[in-house]
Parts: sequence; C-alpha cells; structure tokens
Amino acid sequence: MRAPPLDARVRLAAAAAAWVASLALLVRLGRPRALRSLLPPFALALAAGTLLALVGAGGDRWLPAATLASRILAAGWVGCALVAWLPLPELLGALAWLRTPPALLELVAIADRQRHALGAHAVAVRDAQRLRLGWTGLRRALRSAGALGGLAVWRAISQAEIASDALALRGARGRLLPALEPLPGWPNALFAAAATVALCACLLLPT
Amino acid sequence: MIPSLSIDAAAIGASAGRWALGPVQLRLEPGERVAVLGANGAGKTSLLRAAMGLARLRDGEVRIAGTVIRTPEEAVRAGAGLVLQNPEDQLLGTTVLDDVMIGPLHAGLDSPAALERARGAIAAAGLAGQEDRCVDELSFGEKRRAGLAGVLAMAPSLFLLDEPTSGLDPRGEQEIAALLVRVARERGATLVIATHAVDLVPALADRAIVLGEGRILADGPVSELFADAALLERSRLRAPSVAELWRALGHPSPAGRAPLTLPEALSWNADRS
Repeated sequence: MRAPPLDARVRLAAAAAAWVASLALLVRLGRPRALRSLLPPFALALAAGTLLALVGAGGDRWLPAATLASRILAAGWVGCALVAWLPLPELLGALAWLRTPPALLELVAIADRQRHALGAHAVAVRDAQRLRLGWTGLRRALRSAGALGGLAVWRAISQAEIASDALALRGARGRLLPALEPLPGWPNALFAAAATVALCACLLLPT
Repeated sequence: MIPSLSIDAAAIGASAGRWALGPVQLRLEPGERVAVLGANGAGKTSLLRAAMGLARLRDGEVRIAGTVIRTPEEAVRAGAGLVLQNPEDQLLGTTVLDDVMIGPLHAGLDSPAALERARGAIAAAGLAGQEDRCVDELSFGEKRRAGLAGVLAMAPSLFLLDEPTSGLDPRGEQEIAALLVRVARERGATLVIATHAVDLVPALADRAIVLGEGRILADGPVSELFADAALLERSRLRAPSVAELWRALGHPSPAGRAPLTLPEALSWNADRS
C-alpha cells in the first residue's frame, strides 16, 4: 500500500527549515561570497512567487506560489553553491566530460567572465551614486536602483559588442574551440555529482 | 587647525577581503595639494576609497574636517568629493546638465539653485555650452571633465581624484592639471590626487605620499621625494623626465636634486651659465 503524500505545507516548512539551516552553515563557515551569491536566486524566487500569488489562476494561490518560489530558491542555491565552490575550469572540465555541447561550455565561460566585469561595473556605479547621495531615502534609493539596473543592461550590451570585437581580433570565425579544461579531482567531482543530482531533483521531482 | 582629512588605521581594506595598506597615519591641512604616488596595486585607490568611507578599516578612523566618517554619505556631507578613475562609472545622467544636477538635487537644493550650481560647475570644468549634449556622445576627455563637474557641483572642500589624467592626450593632461590647480586655488579646497603621471606632479602638488610594499613608504615635499633615487627604485617610480634628462646630461644636482619642470630647468641652466 502506498503511503499518503506529505501535506504541501509540511514540505514547504521542511524546505524553509533546510534553507535556514544552510544559511546558518554558511555563516558558521564564514563564506560571505557564497552568502552574497544567494541573493540573486532569492530575489528571483521572491519575484516569481509574488507574481504567481498575485496573478495566478484559482482560489488558493499562495501554496503553488510558495512551492514555485521554494523550487527556484533550491535550484538557485545548488547552482550558486556549485559555482561558488567549484573552480570554473574544473566545472567546465566536468561538463565537457559529461558531453555538454561545446557551444554551451563556451557560453558558460563567457557568462562567467561577463558576470565579473558587470559586477565590478555595478559596484562602481553604486559607489558613484552613493557619492552623490543617491541612496539616501526610499524614493531616491528606488530611483537609483532603477538607474543602476538600466546602466547595467546598457553596459552588458556594450560589453557584449566589445567581447565580440575582441574575439574577432583573435581570429574567431564562429568555430568553437575544443575544451581543454582539466577534470575535477575526486572531492570536487563528488561534490559536482551530488549538486547535479540535487539540481535535477529541485527541477524535475513532482510537487 | 582642524585637518581637512585625517586617517589613522592599522590597515585599509581592498577588494576580495584582503588588506591593501597598513598601518596608515595621515593628516592633511586645509588647502594642501597632495599627490599619492605608487606602482599599480600599491593601494592608491584604496586610500582614496577609505577617505570616502568606501573601504574597510581595521582599528582606525577617518575624519573629514573633524567629523568621523563611516559611510560615503557622511563623507559627502562633511565636504568631500571623489572623482573615480573611470568616468564611465561616474556619469549617471542622460545629458551633461542632467548628470551634474543629480548631486545638488540630492543634497537638498531646489531646482533653480541646483541648476545654477550645475552650470557653474560645468563652466569651471571647461564644458560651457555642452550642457545639453548626451553623455554618450562625449569624447573620453570630455567625459572626464563631466565627471569632474559632477563632483565640483557638490562644492567639496576636500577634493579627491583617482588618476584624473589617465587616458588623456598630452594636451588634455596639461589642461586637466591646470584646471585642478585653478579650481583648488579659487575654492581654497584641499586636493588629493592619486596618479602615475609623475611629469605632472610638480605642477599639481607640493607634497607627495609614496606607497609601496603595502604601506606608506614616504611622505614629504615633492622635490625631496623625487631626489631620493633609492625610494623611487623601491616604489617602482621615476623622477619627472626633465629631472632625468638633467642628470643624464651630467648637470650638477646638489643633494641629488634636479629641476622638475621645464621652466625650472631653464632657470637652473641660466644660473649655471
């Protein structure tokens, strides 16, 4: 006889407890970078959950909204942990070994480089805004946040053009280069495998 | 006299959680013009960021005009302004006028007063008549001037500049240097300039702070520091080209000193003959 499925509220509570426990672990381990990297998935989960709760169909919208948010959060958490702990060359090596299409590998490599460049630019722009009192008070902060987002998008576009020119100047003609990254060592390989299983579980297991 | 800027800290933080400089004891009097010199990665930018409350301190404090500074907002309110190294990071508005007005409006000025302040700053930065131009249409040198105008519009009494002449053509370098000296003199402001442009330093500053090996290696008059060959070697710097040429030609250099600017060299040469 099959056991009755757990109540969704119980599972959500368990997910929240796991989230708090993992945050506590990160604080205990003193990993501020990893903690910071959790902010984007947290914001995305919050936005998606709120959106579903506000505009979703049906009467009881809060539970599916919370479920969606917790899934995004969990997947984002695992993804961020993977990127924060595993050195990128080893991550690319593992992906190549798993027969990931080369185009995707190149995308990951470029995305990581752009993430650093854009992050540095965003920090500099935010500093410039603070130096002109742009983050004092809620209205100014909202306006500055909007400007910061706009400037980041603008910079992303111009940075993409520059990167494309730079690639062309180094002989890129659309052909993908073979991946030369090393395979991860045993501890990192185990971690990557566990993270991949967790990621699949977050995304594919039925609710 | 209350110093314009004082920093007293065991260490100053850089990015990625490491300490860039330490220990740092610094005191700048009002109206001083100070150059911060050092090789790439010596900590020049970190020092300026610490002065504005943008970098972490270990066991210490920053004071601007006697006020303890913990955040950039406090630094700005205490009368400090920082021009960032890359003008692209500093320009936030659509047109030059829009951009320069951001600071005064945030500081609480009403629109007419902010407009007047912005126009004055734009003119002082040498961009009069360019108010309505889109910032993306400006050349690199004009962007530098626009960034400068944005800070001038905040009427700072302590003016910090991070590599204000980098990326400019030779004439642009000289124009910006002259502009900075004029603005500092007219407003009685303290000027702190982090720079690699050793040829411009004698015209820009009277005092220099040399950074290297993770600390302040020397702090004194520009003429003395450029006469210290061992210090220049340690800090991966060089004397201005005029001084190097003077020594290379075998002209007399009393106590290692040599003329630092062209007019000085001509005057020394006239005295010699």
